[in-house]
Amino acid sequence: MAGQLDMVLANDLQEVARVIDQLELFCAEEGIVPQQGLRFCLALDELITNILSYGLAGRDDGVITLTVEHRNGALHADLADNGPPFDPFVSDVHAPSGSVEEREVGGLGITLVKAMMDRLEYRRDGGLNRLNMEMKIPVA
Amino acid sequence: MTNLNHDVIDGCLVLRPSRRIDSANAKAFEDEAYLLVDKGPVKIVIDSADLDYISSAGLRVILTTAKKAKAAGGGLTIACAKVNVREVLMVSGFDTIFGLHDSVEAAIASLG
Repeated sequence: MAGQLDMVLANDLQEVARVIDQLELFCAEEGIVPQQGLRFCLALDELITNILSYGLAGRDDGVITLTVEHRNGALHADLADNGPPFDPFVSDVHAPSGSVEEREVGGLGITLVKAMMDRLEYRRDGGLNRLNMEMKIPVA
Repeated sequence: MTNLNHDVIDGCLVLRPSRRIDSANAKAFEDEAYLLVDKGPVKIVIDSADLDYISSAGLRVILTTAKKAKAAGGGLTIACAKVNVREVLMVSGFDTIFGLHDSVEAAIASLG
Protein backbone atom coordinates (compact mmCIF):
# COMPACT_ATOMS: atom_id res chain seq x y z
CA MET A 1 0.00 0.00 0.00
CA ALA A 2 1.17 3.56 -0.69
CA GLY A 3 -1.54 5.95 0.38
CA GLN A 4 -1.65 9.65 1.06
CA LEU A 5 -3.71 11.80 3.42
CA ASP A 6 -4.09 15.57 2.97
CA MET A 7 -5.65 17.85 5.57
CA VAL A 8 -6.11 21.60 6.04
CA LEU A 9 -6.41 22.53 9.72
CA ALA A 10 -8.15 25.47 11.34
CA ASN A 11 -6.48 27.46 14.13
CA ASP A 12 -8.21 25.46 16.89
CA LEU A 13 -6.88 22.86 19.36
CA GLN A 14 -9.93 20.65 18.68
CA GLU A 15 -8.37 19.99 15.27
CA VAL A 16 -5.80 17.77 17.00
CA ALA A 17 -8.54 15.23 17.78
CA ARG A 18 -9.63 15.28 14.13
CA VAL A 19 -6.05 14.68 12.97
CA ILE A 20 -5.68 11.65 15.28
CA ASP A 21 -9.08 10.26 14.17
CA GLN A 22 -8.15 10.63 10.49
CA LEU A 23 -4.71 9.13 11.01
CA GLU A 24 -6.15 6.13 12.83
CA LEU A 25 -8.44 5.48 9.84
CA PHE A 26 -5.56 6.03 7.41
CA CYS A 27 -3.30 3.60 9.28
CA ALA A 28 -6.07 0.98 9.38
CA GLU A 29 -6.52 1.30 5.60
CA GLU A 30 -2.77 1.02 5.11
CA GLY A 31 -2.47 -2.04 7.32
CA ILE A 32 -0.30 -0.26 9.88
CA VAL A 33 -0.76 -1.63 13.41
CA PRO A 34 -2.48 0.85 15.80
CA GLN A 35 0.48 0.83 18.16
CA GLN A 36 2.77 2.28 15.45
CA GLY A 37 0.07 4.59 14.11
CA LEU A 38 -0.42 6.11 17.57
CA ARG A 39 3.32 6.82 17.93
CA PHE A 40 3.13 8.81 14.69
CA CYS A 41 -0.05 10.55 15.88
CA LEU A 42 1.71 11.57 19.06
CA ALA A 43 4.51 13.37 17.23
CA LEU A 44 2.02 15.21 15.02
CA ASP A 45 -0.18 16.06 18.02
CA GLU A 46 2.81 17.64 19.80
CA LEU A 47 4.00 19.64 16.78
CA ILE A 48 0.51 20.87 15.80
CA THR A 49 -0.24 21.80 19.43
CA ASN A 50 2.99 23.85 19.52
CA ILE A 51 2.08 25.67 16.32
CA LEU A 52 -1.46 26.41 17.52
CA SER A 53 -0.35 27.47 21.01
CA TYR A 54 2.57 29.72 20.00
CA GLY A 55 3.13 30.51 16.31
CA LEU A 56 -0.52 30.98 15.40
CA ALA A 57 -1.88 32.04 18.81
CA GLY A 58 -4.46 34.80 18.44
CA ARG A 59 -4.27 34.94 14.65
CA ASP A 60 -7.38 34.60 12.54
CA ASP A 61 -5.40 34.07 9.32
CA GLY A 62 -3.45 31.06 10.64
CA VAL A 63 -3.42 28.00 8.40
CA ILE A 64 -1.80 24.60 8.82
CA THR A 65 -1.57 22.01 6.08
CA LEU A 66 -0.66 18.38 6.69
CA THR A 67 0.30 15.71 4.19
CA VAL A 68 0.95 12.15 5.35
CA GLU A 69 2.32 9.44 3.08
CA HIS A 70 2.95 5.76 3.61
CA ARG A 71 5.81 4.55 1.41
CA ASN A 72 8.93 2.41 1.59
CA GLY A 73 8.04 0.97 4.97
CA ALA A 74 7.73 4.36 6.63
CA LEU A 75 5.22 7.06 7.45
CA HIS A 76 6.20 10.52 6.18
CA ALA A 77 4.60 13.81 7.17
CA ASP A 78 4.94 17.34 5.87
CA LEU A 79 3.47 19.95 8.20
CA ALA A 80 3.36 23.59 7.03
CA ASP A 81 2.13 26.72 8.82
CA ASN A 82 2.15 30.45 8.08
CA GLY A 83 3.30 31.54 11.56
CA PRO A 84 6.50 33.49 12.23
CA PRO A 85 9.76 31.61 11.53
CA PHE A 86 10.28 29.00 14.24
CA ASP A 87 12.38 25.85 14.27
CA PRO A 88 11.12 23.66 17.13
CA PHE A 89 14.16 21.39 16.95
CA VAL A 90 16.95 23.91 17.60
CA SER A 91 16.12 24.60 21.23
CA ASP A 92 18.34 22.72 23.64
CA VAL A 93 15.75 20.12 24.57
CA HIS A 94 16.33 17.66 27.33
CA ALA A 95 13.75 15.72 29.28
CA PRO A 96 12.81 17.66 32.41
CA SER A 97 13.61 15.90 35.67
CA GLY A 98 12.98 16.18 39.39
CA SER A 99 10.40 15.14 41.95
CA VAL A 100 6.67 15.89 41.83
CA GLU A 101 7.13 19.17 43.70
CA GLU A 102 10.14 20.34 41.67
CA ARG A 103 9.02 19.23 38.28
CA GLU A 104 7.98 21.98 35.87
CA VAL A 105 4.79 21.46 33.90
CA GLY A 106 5.41 21.30 30.17
CA GLY A 107 8.57 21.05 28.11
CA LEU A 108 8.05 17.41 27.19
CA GLY A 109 6.45 17.68 23.75
CA ILE A 110 9.60 17.96 21.64
CA THR A 111 11.32 15.28 23.73
CA LEU A 112 8.47 12.92 22.77
CA VAL A 113 8.60 13.93 19.09
CA LYS A 114 12.33 13.15 18.97
CA ALA A 115 11.76 9.80 20.68
CA MET A 116 9.07 8.73 18.19
CA MET A 117 10.51 9.94 14.87
CA ASP A 118 13.50 8.60 12.95
CA ARG A 119 14.11 11.76 10.93
CA LEU A 120 13.11 15.39 11.52
CA GLU A 121 13.79 18.43 9.37
CA TYR A 122 12.78 22.07 9.54
CA ARG A 123 13.00 24.63 6.78
CA ARG A 124 11.58 28.09 6.13
CA ASP A 125 10.14 28.16 2.66
CA GLY A 126 8.14 30.93 0.95
CA GLY A 127 6.79 32.44 4.17
CA LEU A 128 5.95 29.03 5.66
CA ASN A 129 7.45 26.88 8.37
CA ARG A 130 7.82 23.37 6.98
CA LEU A 131 8.40 20.36 9.19
CA ASN A 132 9.30 17.16 7.43
CA MET A 133 9.48 13.91 9.32
CA GLU A 134 9.72 10.17 8.93
CA MET A 135 8.94 7.22 11.15
CA LYS A 136 10.05 3.77 10.06
CA ILE A 137 7.52 1.02 10.65
CA PRO A 138 9.13 -2.11 12.05
CA VAL A 139 8.23 -5.23 10.08
CA ALA A 140 5.99 -7.30 12.32
CA MET B 1 -21.59 15.97 36.06
CA THR B 2 -18.46 14.20 35.06
CA ASN B 3 -17.57 12.00 32.12
CA LEU B 4 -14.40 10.74 33.73
CA ASN B 5 -14.94 7.19 34.98
CA HIS B 6 -13.83 6.83 38.57
CA ASP B 7 -14.20 4.81 41.74
CA VAL B 8 -13.19 5.05 45.34
CA ILE B 9 -11.46 1.87 46.50
CA ASP B 10 -9.91 1.49 49.97
CA GLY B 11 -9.87 5.25 50.42
CA CYS B 12 -8.15 5.87 47.08
CA LEU B 13 -9.61 7.76 44.15
CA VAL B 14 -9.18 5.60 41.05
CA LEU B 15 -9.45 7.62 37.83
CA ARG B 16 -10.12 5.66 34.64
CA PRO B 17 -9.54 7.83 31.58
CA SER B 18 -10.52 6.05 28.37
CA ARG B 19 -9.17 6.10 24.82
CA ARG B 20 -7.07 9.25 24.63
CA ILE B 21 -5.78 12.20 26.59
CA ASP B 22 -4.66 14.60 23.87
CA SER B 23 -4.36 18.38 23.47
CA ALA B 24 -8.03 18.60 22.56
CA ASN B 25 -9.40 16.98 25.75
CA ALA B 26 -6.64 17.38 28.37
CA LYS B 27 -8.29 20.48 29.85
CA ALA B 28 -11.59 18.63 30.32
CA PHE B 29 -9.75 15.77 32.06
CA GLU B 30 -8.00 18.27 34.34
CA ASP B 31 -11.25 20.05 35.24
CA GLU B 32 -12.98 16.76 36.09
CA ALA B 33 -9.99 15.38 38.01
CA TYR B 34 -9.72 18.60 40.06
CA LEU B 35 -13.40 18.46 41.02
CA LEU B 36 -13.00 14.86 42.21
CA VAL B 37 -9.78 15.57 44.13
CA ASP B 38 -11.38 18.60 45.79
CA LYS B 39 -14.20 16.59 47.25
CA GLY B 40 -12.68 13.14 47.64
CA PRO B 41 -9.65 11.15 48.66
CA VAL B 42 -6.30 12.71 47.81
CA LYS B 43 -4.60 9.37 47.19
CA ILE B 44 -5.01 8.88 43.47
CA VAL B 45 -4.49 5.96 41.10
CA ILE B 46 -4.64 6.57 37.35
CA ASP B 47 -5.94 3.25 36.01
CA SER B 48 -4.76 3.31 32.37
CA ALA B 49 -6.25 -0.04 31.32
CA ASP B 50 -8.61 1.67 28.84
CA LEU B 51 -6.20 4.40 27.79
CA ASP B 52 -4.61 3.99 24.34
CA TYR B 53 -2.89 7.32 24.00
CA ILE B 54 -1.45 10.16 26.05
CA SER B 55 0.33 13.29 24.80
CA SER B 56 2.42 15.83 26.70
CA ALA B 57 -0.81 17.73 27.38
CA GLY B 58 -1.99 14.62 29.23
CA LEU B 59 1.31 14.32 31.12
CA ARG B 60 0.90 17.93 32.13
CA VAL B 61 -2.50 17.32 33.72
CA ILE B 62 -1.27 14.20 35.51
CA LEU B 63 1.54 16.30 36.96
CA THR B 64 -0.72 19.18 38.01
CA THR B 65 -3.20 16.71 39.54
CA ALA B 66 -0.34 15.00 41.40
CA LYS B 67 0.91 18.34 42.72
CA LYS B 68 -2.59 19.10 43.96
CA ALA B 69 -2.88 15.69 45.64
CA LYS B 70 0.57 15.97 47.20
CA ALA B 71 -0.13 19.46 48.53
CA ALA B 72 -3.24 18.02 50.25
CA GLY B 73 -1.17 15.28 51.89
CA GLY B 74 -1.88 12.54 49.34
CA GLY B 75 -0.13 11.19 46.29
CA LEU B 76 -0.57 9.78 42.81
CA THR B 77 0.55 6.66 41.00
CA ILE B 78 -0.23 4.89 37.73
CA ALA B 79 -1.53 1.38 37.02
CA CYS B 80 -2.03 -0.89 33.99
CA ALA B 81 -0.32 1.27 31.36
CA LYS B 82 -0.59 -0.23 27.87
CA VAL B 83 2.37 -0.23 25.51
CA ASN B 84 1.97 3.23 23.90
CA VAL B 85 1.16 4.94 27.18
CA ARG B 86 4.01 3.10 28.89
CA GLU B 87 6.49 4.31 26.25
CA VAL B 88 5.41 7.94 26.73
CA LEU B 89 5.63 7.63 30.53
CA MET B 90 9.13 6.17 30.26
CA VAL B 91 10.45 8.73 27.75
CA SER B 92 9.19 11.51 30.02
CA GLY B 93 10.55 9.93 33.21
CA PHE B 94 7.05 9.74 34.71
CA ASP B 95 7.58 6.04 35.42
CA THR B 96 10.27 7.02 37.94
CA ILE B 97 8.37 9.92 39.49
CA PHE B 98 5.02 8.19 39.93
CA GLY B 99 5.71 4.46 39.64
CA LEU B 100 4.00 2.06 37.24
CA HIS B 101 2.02 -0.85 38.64
CA ASP B 102 0.59 -3.94 36.95
CA SER B 103 -2.66 -3.81 38.91
CA VAL B 104 -4.87 -1.25 40.63
CA GLU B 105 -4.48 -3.26 43.86
CA ALA B 106 -0.67 -2.97 43.72
CA ALA B 107 -0.99 0.76 42.96
CA ILE B 108 -3.29 1.32 45.95
CA ALA B 109 -0.91 -0.65 48.21
CA SER B 110 2.00 1.55 47.09
CA LEU B 111 0.19 4.70 48.25
CA GLY B 112 0.15 3.31 51.80
